[in-house]
Amino acid sequence: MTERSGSPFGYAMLAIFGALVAAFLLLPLVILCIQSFTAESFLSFPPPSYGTRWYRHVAAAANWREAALSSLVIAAIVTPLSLVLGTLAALGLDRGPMRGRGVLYGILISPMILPHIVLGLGIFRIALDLHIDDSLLSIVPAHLTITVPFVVISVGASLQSFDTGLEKAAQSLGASPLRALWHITLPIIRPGLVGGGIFAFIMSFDEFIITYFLSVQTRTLPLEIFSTLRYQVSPAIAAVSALTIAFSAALTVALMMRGQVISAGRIVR
Amino acid sequence: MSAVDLEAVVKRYGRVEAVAGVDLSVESGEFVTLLGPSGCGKTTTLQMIAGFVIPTSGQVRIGGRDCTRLAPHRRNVGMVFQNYALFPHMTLQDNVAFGLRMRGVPRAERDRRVGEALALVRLSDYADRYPGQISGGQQQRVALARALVIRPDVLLLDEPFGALDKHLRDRMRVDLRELQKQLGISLVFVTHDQEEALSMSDRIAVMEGGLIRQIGTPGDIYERPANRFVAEFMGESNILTARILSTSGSEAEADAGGMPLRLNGSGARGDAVTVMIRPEKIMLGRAGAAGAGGIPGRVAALQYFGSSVHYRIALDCGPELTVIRPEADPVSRLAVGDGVEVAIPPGIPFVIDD
Amino acid sequence: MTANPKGGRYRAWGLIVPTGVLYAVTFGIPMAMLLSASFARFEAGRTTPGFFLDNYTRIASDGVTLQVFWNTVTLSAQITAVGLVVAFPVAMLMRRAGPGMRLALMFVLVSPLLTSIIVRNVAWMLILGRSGLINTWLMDWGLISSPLALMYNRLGVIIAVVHVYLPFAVLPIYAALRAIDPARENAAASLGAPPWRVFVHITLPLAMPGVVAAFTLLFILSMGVYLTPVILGGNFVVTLPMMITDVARNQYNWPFASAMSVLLLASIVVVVALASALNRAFSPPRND
Repeated sequence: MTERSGSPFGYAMLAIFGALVAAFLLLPLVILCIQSFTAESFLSFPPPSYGTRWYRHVAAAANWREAALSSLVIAAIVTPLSLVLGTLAALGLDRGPMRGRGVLYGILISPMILPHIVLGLGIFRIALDLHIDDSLLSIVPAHLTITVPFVVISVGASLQSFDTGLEKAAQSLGASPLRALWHITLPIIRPGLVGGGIFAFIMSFDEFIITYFLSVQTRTLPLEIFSTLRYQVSPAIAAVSALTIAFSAALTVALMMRGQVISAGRIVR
Repeated sequence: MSAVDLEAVVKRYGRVEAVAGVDLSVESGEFVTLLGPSGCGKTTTLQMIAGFVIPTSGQVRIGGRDCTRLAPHRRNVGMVFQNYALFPHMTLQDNVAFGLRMRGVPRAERDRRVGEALALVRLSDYADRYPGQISGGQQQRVALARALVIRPDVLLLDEPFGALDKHLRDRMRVDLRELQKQLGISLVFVTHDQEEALSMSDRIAVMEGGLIRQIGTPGDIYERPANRFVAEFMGESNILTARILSTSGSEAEADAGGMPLRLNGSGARGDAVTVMIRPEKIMLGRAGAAGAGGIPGRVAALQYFGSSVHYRIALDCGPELTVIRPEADPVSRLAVGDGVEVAIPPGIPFVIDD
Repeated sequence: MTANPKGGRYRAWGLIVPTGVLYAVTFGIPMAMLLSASFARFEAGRTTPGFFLDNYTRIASDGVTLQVFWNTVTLSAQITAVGLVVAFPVAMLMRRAGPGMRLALMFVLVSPLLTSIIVRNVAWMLILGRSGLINTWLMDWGLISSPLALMYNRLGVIIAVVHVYLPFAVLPIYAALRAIDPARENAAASLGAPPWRVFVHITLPLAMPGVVAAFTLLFILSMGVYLTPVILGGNFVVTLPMMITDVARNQYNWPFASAMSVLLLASIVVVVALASALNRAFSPPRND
């Protein structure tokens, strides 16, 4: 391996730029979290006084509790289903013939480049005809359409670096193909499964526009934040937002400690 | 004047010393090989000459000029990389012209010199191809032309034949050596392959643990290794411990586990010395055959290599020896278990540092 | 999974069927319906199926839709340009950084991806708004006397969208940079190229596939963006997705909304085609 020796000055400039970009990415979220602890009735920075007033408010408010619950319920249904569908599809691609693999892969991940607005519009229309709008029956399949591609990419990448010789070895030792898959393949591609699962969960939890089309009564968290925003930017929104940040951060850190965040990052390549 | 001088050059990465103090002079027009196993510091040394690695201490001079801290693009060295490092988005013509463009050589002269360089490596017909369209051996030659066209003070080659198959490698060796002599260029060559080093170099520096363990002509290094590492690295060898019985001049009588030896080297009576015997210099004959008259033993194992046969001989007096004979040698009809006699010509056992 | 070479391999595609069925219902059929609806006629709240070009004629002639479409394209181009300019140095830094620094950068890049888009938009409202962080501070320090318009205009939308999509730009560029054998850059340096020429002649051209991928992702994602312009653009930055939503949800004019969706999709197809043409142009010929 040859080491690349660029100019130290250039590296310093890059490092400064990188620090600025890191600040650009992270500071807004940090500021939001600080503001959520305001004890005032309006948002300003830094807050004149601090307290957990708005967290208590949010915890007590039925609309926020219900919105969080329905978001969690939807994501909790969508995540395992995406993992099953996406993993099966990735396995099918991996074990299938080379011919046509590229085209099939393209089709499988195509919902990613489709604007969600168009997807939402289309699904809304068909849901109206089937009278399943404003129901999990339409929201869950709609979310699956945007989450499954992430699982296909993430699990597909893991499968690509998986040595199928290991499965053959297991079979030569007497394991059935299914048991070889279960005991050998799945444990080894776990980083891909975990990464894909995380992205599926976040995508579903964060999904706005399709749910916006489909829902009448159902209120997910992004929908509730959106409709509250129309009146004013209340500190309650900051508190809710901070809670979702804390939730994602906890998730990320838990994975970081298991060294699996990088494989989650691989998904967007 | 020497082309390259390294003076007490050290490179440390944290606490690891990749290069632990190397002194080396490459004379103008000389072909010097840095030879050693991976991790011995040979590539780091080359990179310090090229300027990709800055020494922790010591001095690098190229053509008499202190270049220790000079950026690579301000030195005038040509380098051929392990995987050639051709620019995949440029034609061969543009690849070779790159160094001249960077030097602001005018268009007409540039075209002429690129044409000459491509002709030198017999690739004139391929000037408009891209690196992805030619074979590995051709890529190798483009890399060479690209490094030569700038008329470097020294040409550096980092395991340049590693990616080629054996047949092509042998040919490239001959070609490179001829080209180097024809152009009279100074050259530093890095390899881990002792055959490559022996067949091409004016001098070889054998490296281990960041140090040059021995430097000399191929003959010196092979016939008269300075120590056990060099002896073992340079090919098959028998290394024995012997006790000196008597000395006369530069020769000595010794005993290695019951086997009498006449050594090239001296020492005090009773001293224990390490002795190296090249296996192809040992005579071997069938037991009792006319003219054998040596130390009796038995064939313990043999390996057939086509042009030669390697025998493992268990001597009746104890020690085991490796003996290599040409396949054409009549004794090569020996089988495992056959009784043999070996003879070691006087002066062949060579005392080395352990 | 089986030793049978031909039939067995094709049988593996059976595992894709469940996803195929899902896509057919949520993606294939709706898109077909959308395409056919775009040719329907909508008059006085009634939809007449058929093959009419009414909706497309309206797009071309009403003077508003094309304007909004053009706004969306220029906004996406601006977002893409800013995103690429910011992403490239970050990708360069990630390549040159040590393993620890690289992990930290990767964490910084990926962690916002794991945060809700609407939450990130809210954060920017608190910073860019009339009484937001920046304006409050600038006024407190006496640098300005009245608040700057940082939000409810393109600037705010660009900042917030770049914030959301930056990782999608950095990661493909980083992947392309990482794939460059440093020996190629070293070779250029040893041939006399100073660092900036190494960058211009070697690094940048070899990183182009990543830049094209980043360009494609950024542009396509920006074309479809709805939430961020609504929240940070107010009614001052109108994009095609916003107009589609309004026409479908408030005017119930499904055929016209469909036609606009087809326009949006067509523009994305153009971008993808452009990207693959660029990729071909940037990949040198090879035999194997």
